[in-house]
Amino acid sequence: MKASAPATRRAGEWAAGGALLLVLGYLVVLPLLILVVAAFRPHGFPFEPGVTFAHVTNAFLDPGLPRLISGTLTFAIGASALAVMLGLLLAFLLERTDMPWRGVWRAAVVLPMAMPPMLLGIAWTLLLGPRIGVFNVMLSEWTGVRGPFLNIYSLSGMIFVEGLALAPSAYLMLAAPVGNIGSAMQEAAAMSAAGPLRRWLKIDLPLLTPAIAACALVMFVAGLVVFDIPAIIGVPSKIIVLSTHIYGLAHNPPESLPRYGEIGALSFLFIGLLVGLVALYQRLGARAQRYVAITGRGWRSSPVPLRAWKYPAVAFVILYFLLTVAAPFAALLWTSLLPYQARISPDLIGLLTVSNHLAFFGNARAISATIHSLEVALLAASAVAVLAFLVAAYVNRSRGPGRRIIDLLAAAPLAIPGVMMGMALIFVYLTFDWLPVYGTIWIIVLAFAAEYLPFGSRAMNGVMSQLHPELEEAARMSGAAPSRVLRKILLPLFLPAAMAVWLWVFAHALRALSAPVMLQGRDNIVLSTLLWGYWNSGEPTIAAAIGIWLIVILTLATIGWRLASRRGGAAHV
Amino acid sequence: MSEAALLSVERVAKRYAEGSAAAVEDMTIDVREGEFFTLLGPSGCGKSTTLRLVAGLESPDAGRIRLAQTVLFDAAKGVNVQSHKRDIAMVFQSYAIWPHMSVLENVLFPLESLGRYGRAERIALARAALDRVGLAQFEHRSSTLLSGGQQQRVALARAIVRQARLVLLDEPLSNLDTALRDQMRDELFVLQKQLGATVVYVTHDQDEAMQLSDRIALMRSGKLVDLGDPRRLYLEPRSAFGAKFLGRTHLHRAKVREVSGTGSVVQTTFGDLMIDGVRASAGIDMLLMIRPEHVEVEPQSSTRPSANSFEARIVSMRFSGRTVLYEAAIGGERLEALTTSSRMFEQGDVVRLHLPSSRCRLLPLEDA
Repeated sequence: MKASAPATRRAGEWAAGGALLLVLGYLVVLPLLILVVAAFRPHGFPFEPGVTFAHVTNAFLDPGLPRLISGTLTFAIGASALAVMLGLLLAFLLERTDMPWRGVWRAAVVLPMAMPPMLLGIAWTLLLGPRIGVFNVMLSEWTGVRGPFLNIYSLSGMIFVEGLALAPSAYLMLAAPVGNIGSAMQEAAAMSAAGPLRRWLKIDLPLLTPAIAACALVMFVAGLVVFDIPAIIGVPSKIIVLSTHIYGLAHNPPESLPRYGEIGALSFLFIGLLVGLVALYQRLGARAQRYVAITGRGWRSSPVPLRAWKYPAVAFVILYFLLTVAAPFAALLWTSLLPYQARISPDLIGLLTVSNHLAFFGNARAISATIHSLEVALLAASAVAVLAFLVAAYVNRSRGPGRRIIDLLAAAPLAIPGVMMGMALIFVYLTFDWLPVYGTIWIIVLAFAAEYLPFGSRAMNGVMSQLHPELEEAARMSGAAPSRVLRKILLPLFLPAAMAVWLWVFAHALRALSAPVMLQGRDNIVLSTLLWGYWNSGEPTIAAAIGIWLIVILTLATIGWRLASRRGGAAHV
Repeated sequence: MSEAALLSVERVAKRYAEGSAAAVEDMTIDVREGEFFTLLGPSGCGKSTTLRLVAGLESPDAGRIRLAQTVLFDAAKGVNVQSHKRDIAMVFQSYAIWPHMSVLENVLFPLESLGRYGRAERIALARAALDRVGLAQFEHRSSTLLSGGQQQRVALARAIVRQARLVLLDEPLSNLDTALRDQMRDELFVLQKQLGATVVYVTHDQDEAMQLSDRIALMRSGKLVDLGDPRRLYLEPRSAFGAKFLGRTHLHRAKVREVSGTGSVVQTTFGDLMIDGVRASAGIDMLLMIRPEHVEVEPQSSTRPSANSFEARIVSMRFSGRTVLYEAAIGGERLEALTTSSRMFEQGDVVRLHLPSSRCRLLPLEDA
């Protein structure tokens, strides 16, 4: 007994590590591997005979590629820069100043997360479209100048909307670092004769650099892989980025056969990006951690007085909510109440009708899509919460083998576009038909499980690294076996964080378009693909009505998530 | 209000939240030029708050704070000089070393903030300050790679480099281990004397306070309860709280029987005692205070005068090398005596305990 205890523990760790490697290998590595193989097959099917380099040369010697890449980079850099600037300003105002009604703003700041990016895109085409965009119409009427003032169907339009869509996530990543810089750090500077501006420039900003860099990196990667806003705004205006290009290769190839091989070849780009980014991110993370570790706790910091600046500050926050929530929601609501798409105008009040909403509840396809959406979200959220907990527990708390690889694999899907993951899963389940998930909701669940694992494991890692290992050691010294420690100590301490991860994934799985749109068949239509279908087939009023109900569900999930993560002190994306 | 006061805090009060207990109430202290002045008290007594009010990191609700000729805060006149404009340096309990700057950059920061001197001169001053705290060879070290003691030294160098009129130290030794704490305390003592700096020091450790300070302000529940030099506070406390906070002590109920010009006689459960210099009137109940190290233990056969001498039996003894702590029974009472180990008694021995009249004090009963 005495001699065998460490041995069984060791065997248990090997078994746990092996199992995790297997699961992550299946979820993450296998799809990527098959994409790579497909790149070298004549018709792009991984298990057909023959080898060709034609797809690789086609994809990389394509004269349009440099423009495609530079467009994608411009979009991602622009959107992430806007998101980080908005997020940083919000974090500073809400966490550090004496801005009026801070509590209200802080509670409301996550509301934009309930607005799916796809709907934000749709709403902004309604607000800033060249012909019926209400802001454009208003500006024309006020100034008397004809023609659209601002055209949403442009690269800057896409950057603007994507920046708005990412801003709440940027705020959530930056709020804690901005709020937590030990007040002692600034007090020490004040006692070294440094005024407020010098304190902000010389102390706060440098201390925040790692957090800002990490946030910018995550936002940049999100901008590189995102599909919905480029699809809604970019595709109609012929502004193509990598994700919409991949979608195009699969769905609208000029000579009608999907160009799977080229999609495989393009995956090299993302795999290369992934390796570089993950390494960079981990380095940044380690640096941020080191800063945090020695930051004195000190006294609660007294807020920075805004004085006369409070008026522009309040105006800024109101404008932020107007642009991310109020105006888009109003535009969608208006459109959903119209019998046909028309501009927003008091003259049309007589036309308003709830028939689109009634149709939604009477539509069998809509009902089944809602049920599918809820099923997918529920299953994906549960899978991610459990897997992320196990990964975090193994990586942080065991001495088992392969911890670094497991950690990396769990973070890898961050840099894989949802459309590409969808493509890969099609390959996997068309080739391995022993698991008949192709065309069912299960294949979407698998895609989401991989896509949202990076968020889940990072959030869990954050909480796990804050809990002192002595809590578990004390349990072990009280005679509890590892399984009991997991069940009685770790799990209860993690339940709030796990709950927060669960709700976050639930909300994102409900709103995401990229993987479902690649994987959709007749029997696995979800709300986002249904909405996408109506929008693309020229029925924006029905799409808007579905959108309103999606927002209602998401608002509830978002509020739940916020409450759970407050309790758990979970790290956010 | 003494003319020589460099810092004067007058009737300052601070309450953190409406309706809560006052963190500091009616606080008045004067700190003289070149003085090592300590705010001492248990945690939550308001000593750190007082320091932060002087620093300007918190604003008082009432009162006045003045540094030399400059009024830093005056509630009545609405004056409140911001922290960074006060000629005051501070060392924080957590050291608050900026992790993104090297050791030298940390120390240069105050000089750069003040905009004093040229670059070369600043570097020379910063190096001199680092040299003073024994960190000369560490100037290019990243401050994230420093031990606790080294961080403490950087914090000190950062505070002395700007040559402020006043240096505030907020429990600077409390995060260090015992051996290092003793060493740093000695260094701090020497440093302050060398620089002639005026220091306000906050601690809850009475030994630290007594070894370092010229004067100590003892605080409790936001109020100043005693103020004086360490000797006076230890030997002639004004209250039972002060007596107990500064060191181990006995407190016995006693009734004043007679008061004369030179002293008085009090009645206790183990006999009558002579006490020097009492300001009390006959007939009232008070507390007799005597510290264990002032109780003299003699053999039963001792031929000393019998006043203040009582026969007792050793109940237990605890030997700790330099000293021996006895517990002795006199009648139904227990009395502790701390002696050196030059002469020792065993458990069960009958001895004579002598309580010197000069070391016995009478304290008011109310806050026992």
